[in-house]
Amino acid sequence: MLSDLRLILVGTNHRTAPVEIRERIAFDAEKMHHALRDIVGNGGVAEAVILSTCNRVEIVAAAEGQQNAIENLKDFVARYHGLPAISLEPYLYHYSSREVVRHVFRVASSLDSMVVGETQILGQVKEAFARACALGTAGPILRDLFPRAFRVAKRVRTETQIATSSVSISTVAVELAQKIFDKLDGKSALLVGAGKMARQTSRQLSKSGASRIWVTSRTPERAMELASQVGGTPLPYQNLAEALVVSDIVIVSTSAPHFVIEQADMVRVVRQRKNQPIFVIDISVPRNVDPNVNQVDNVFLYDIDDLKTVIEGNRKGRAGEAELAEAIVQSEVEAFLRELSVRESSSVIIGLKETIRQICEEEMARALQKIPDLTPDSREALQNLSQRIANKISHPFLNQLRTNPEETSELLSQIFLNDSDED
Amino acid sequence: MHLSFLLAISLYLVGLALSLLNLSARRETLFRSAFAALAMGFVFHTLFLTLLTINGRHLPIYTSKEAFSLFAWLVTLSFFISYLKFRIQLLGILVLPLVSAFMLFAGALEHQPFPPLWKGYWVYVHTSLVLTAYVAFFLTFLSSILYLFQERALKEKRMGGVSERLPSLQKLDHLLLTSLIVGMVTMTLGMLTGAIWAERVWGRYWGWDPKEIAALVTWLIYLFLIHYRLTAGWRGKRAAILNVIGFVSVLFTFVGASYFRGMHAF
Repeated sequence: MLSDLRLILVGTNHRTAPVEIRERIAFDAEKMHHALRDIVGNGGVAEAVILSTCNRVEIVAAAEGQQNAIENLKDFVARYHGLPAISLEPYLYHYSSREVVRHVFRVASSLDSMVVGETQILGQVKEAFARACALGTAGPILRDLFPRAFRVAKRVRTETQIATSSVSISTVAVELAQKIFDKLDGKSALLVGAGKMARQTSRQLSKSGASRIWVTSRTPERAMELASQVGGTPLPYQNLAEALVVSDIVIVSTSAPHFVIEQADMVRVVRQRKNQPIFVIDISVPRNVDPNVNQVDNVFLYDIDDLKTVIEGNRKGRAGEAELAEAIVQSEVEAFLRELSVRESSSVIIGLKETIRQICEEEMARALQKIPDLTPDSREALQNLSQRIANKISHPFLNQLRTNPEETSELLSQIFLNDSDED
Repeated sequence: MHLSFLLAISLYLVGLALSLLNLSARRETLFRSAFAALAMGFVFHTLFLTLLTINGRHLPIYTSKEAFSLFAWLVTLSFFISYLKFRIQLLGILVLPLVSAFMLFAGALEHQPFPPLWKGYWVYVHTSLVLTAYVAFFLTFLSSILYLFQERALKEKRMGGVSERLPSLQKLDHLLLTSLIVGMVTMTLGMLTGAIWAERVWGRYWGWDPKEIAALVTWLIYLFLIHYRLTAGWRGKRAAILNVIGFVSVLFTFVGASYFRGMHAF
């Protein structure tokens, strides 16, 4: 039957609390089950999920008596971490009902993240939910909410470009490489000199499938050292020309004050590569690759400013996409709540019909006892009469339920279903 | 006009409208609906061609009307096949206008009589090979165009927008090369079987009729392309431009050459 449980949420995130606070009220993954068991069953809380990451702590619960339950949850957070409740008050936010749905959808879709569109958060939310399921602290209400949030997150990811654009040099470099080579499996990269950024990029490249990394530097010792750092093969600097021919991605970051790769070099390299595309990233300042290299067919040259421009564009794109994503979340919240109230009202309809049917049967039985010698025909006529009266009386209620499910179902369940609530 | 043909045309046009919408609104559901419309159109189209084959007791490749409709069918089929392998959504929007145009074309054309003397086994082999070649070259043409766009975007560092929706250069190049080779092989075989057929019907292998000349020019262009591709890895901008020229030549061979009233009815 209808439950009196309502959604509530108490939490803190990178916007409402500094890291010193967040780290003090984070929930240890190993001790999470204690916390969950402590919450559920106390202060009217029937179901709970705890999400705890380095940027946020959120307790999502279904509870009776929303206001009290919220206060209880806040007290719980403080008590659990041994802090006075009053000291946490400025950092904690809380939501109830509809806002909980919206907040959970936004968090799962990475709209509430520090880096909007980052993909880690969804995995963390899924993990938190799975843990609560395993412990049995996620009941029917949260089991409706969370899977729905995952679907919303997926929709946001497929229908907006929010998560597709990269905002760091190394990921943008990989993304561009994938625009040229598709999958990077089996591709080879060459590091000419190696600053921190070049090392990061090469690591990102091998993570994405690049199978060979060559490293060259004007000092052989340095090349050896860098090669061991990135898991590559050192090459003598005088072999640079040959190395270019067999490399698909070249990352140049030497401290040379002049060009180390000229246009004429590249023309020859491309001919020797039989016109296979080559992606050259020049992250050195001053630049080490002649900008005219980009004029050569099948060579794609990006210097540090080009990469930054791409990142800037991605950032702007993300902001626009975030708006689109917010709209999706909004419509999903509406849809979810509508479904809930339809489901609730349909259980009210069933209950209402059942109650009326019972009344009819009881009264019929009583009447038939008083007048036992009825013909089957009159018996049937009486039965039909009671049925029709019952239908006519319940009809306006059912109509009202359909047009205004939320309020009517609450009212009707109060009037008609009190008995069945108790058993 | 047959009902299934009308349904096929309408569904293709619906698909076209939906994919145009998808271009601006970018919704996964829009792409799916466009895809569904195309697939349903394809089903009715297949039904139409099957009925035609059964009723006419011959494969529907005797007249221009039939050939255009069969060509549209093959283009749609090729889209589904290449979509399975390459997942290039954008290809759909490029395929649909041509499919729709050829369907409308086929709908508008009159049925010309087909000389009974010409009928026979070779006509099937010849025409279906040549039509397959045209379809393959159409895919080569499309991938060249997309390649040019993506290459341009990468060179000029314009990410986002079009580039974001385009597949990688590697993928496009793969599709380009595959379709080029398929086209070249079927075109060569198509011309050989055409010569054999011509010998059976007219007693000569080659008659310098406009269609034959156009086909030869097309064949030489693609031969040139494939030669440099295989020897020097020739690709990129200039190769793509030549591919475009090659396809113009295909279109002329397929549609245009008939107006010069040669032996080929189409």
